[in-house]
Amino acid sequence: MGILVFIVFSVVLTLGIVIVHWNARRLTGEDWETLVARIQPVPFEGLEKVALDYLQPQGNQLLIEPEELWQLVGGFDGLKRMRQNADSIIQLAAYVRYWNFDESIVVAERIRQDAVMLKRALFRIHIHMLFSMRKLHVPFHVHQAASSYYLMTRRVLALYQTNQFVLYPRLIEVL
Amino acid sequence: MELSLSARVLWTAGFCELVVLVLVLIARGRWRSFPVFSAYISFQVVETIVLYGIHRFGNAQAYFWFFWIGAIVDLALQISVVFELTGIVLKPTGTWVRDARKMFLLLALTGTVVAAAISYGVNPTVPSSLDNWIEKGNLFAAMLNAQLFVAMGLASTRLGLAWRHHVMGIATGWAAWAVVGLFVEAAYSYFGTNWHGAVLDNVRIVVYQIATIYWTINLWLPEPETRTLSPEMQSYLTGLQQHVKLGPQGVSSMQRR
Repeated sequence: MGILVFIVFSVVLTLGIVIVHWNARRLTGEDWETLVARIQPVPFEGLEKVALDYLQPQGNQLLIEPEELWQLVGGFDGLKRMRQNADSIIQLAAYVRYWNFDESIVVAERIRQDAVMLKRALFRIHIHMLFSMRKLHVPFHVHQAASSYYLMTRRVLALYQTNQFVLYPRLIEVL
Repeated sequence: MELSLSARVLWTAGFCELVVLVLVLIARGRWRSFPVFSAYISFQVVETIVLYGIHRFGNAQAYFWFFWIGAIVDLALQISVVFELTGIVLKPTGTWVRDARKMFLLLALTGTVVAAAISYGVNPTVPSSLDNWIEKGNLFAAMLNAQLFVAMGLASTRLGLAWRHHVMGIATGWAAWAVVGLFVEAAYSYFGTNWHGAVLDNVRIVVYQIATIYWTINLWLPEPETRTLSPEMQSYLTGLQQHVKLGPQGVSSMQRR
């Protein structure tokens, strides 16, 4: 019995090694166009409005009503797309290692931290919506999600602007 | 104890390959990037010389002790190599990437506990109680090596951390050797050491030798060039950026005047 468990665990570890290796090779070998093609369109203008309302507070901070806030970020679909794009944005930042290793690693790490905030906010929104509880909190998390995503896009664009000006216009177009 | 011709050939070939790898690590300066890996390979060279010397001129008891002390140091260095690769991949700037340490430690600790429980539960087909514990130790070592590698790989790929060329090379050889080690230990444990023991040993040795040759070639070749913008181009772009930013402001201030 013991040896059977060992063999099963060995097979699991072997599969783990193969998957990890395959993913690592894919991560290293993926070309820029493939990464960019994964970016899903999001309503950027609305998202920017929400993010700036949060990041650069002006006189009236209650200007955007919760319903409008929800529409500006594209609703559930918009939030889902932001989540999907988050990992691609990190990979796009990490891709700059081909031109500037140090800066790409540092900026990718900052973007990764924003992504953690984004994913936490999205998780909380899902939980509140799923159990129909404390819906009053949802707009706060939407604000947080939108600003984290906005910061991620700003960071990656600034990174490309200084290190890869050839690809920069295409990235603006996609993001 | 007289060695067979195949054992001598494998021993000599393995030793020569390790020496070449050590020379490559020194000549190409790779030991600076991979000090633990270099120490591990160098240790194997020294271990081979010492064990061969004792085998030729010493006695069986001395060989026994040196062999097992060497095996313990070998295992400690193997684990250290995986930790070295982990450090390079998960700490690219010298500090841990956010969430990387937590994820790696969680996976590594869980895997270690599972590996310890499985090795304790296995009853290997061996003649004595000491052999039983030795085989359990071997099973644990094989699982530990493989699962630490998986923990490092899962943590890095989930966080989108790419492996550089040389890390990828070392990891590829290491992964192949770890997988073969697992199944050789399973066969040893299930069938006993008398069941094609020499063949199983040779399979593991040959795979390790292939890995050594692969590492030698990989570490000899340079890391692909990173394309860094020259300082002049950096300053030109920053200036251009400022100019573009200031341009519309200048126009609007002129319009106000």
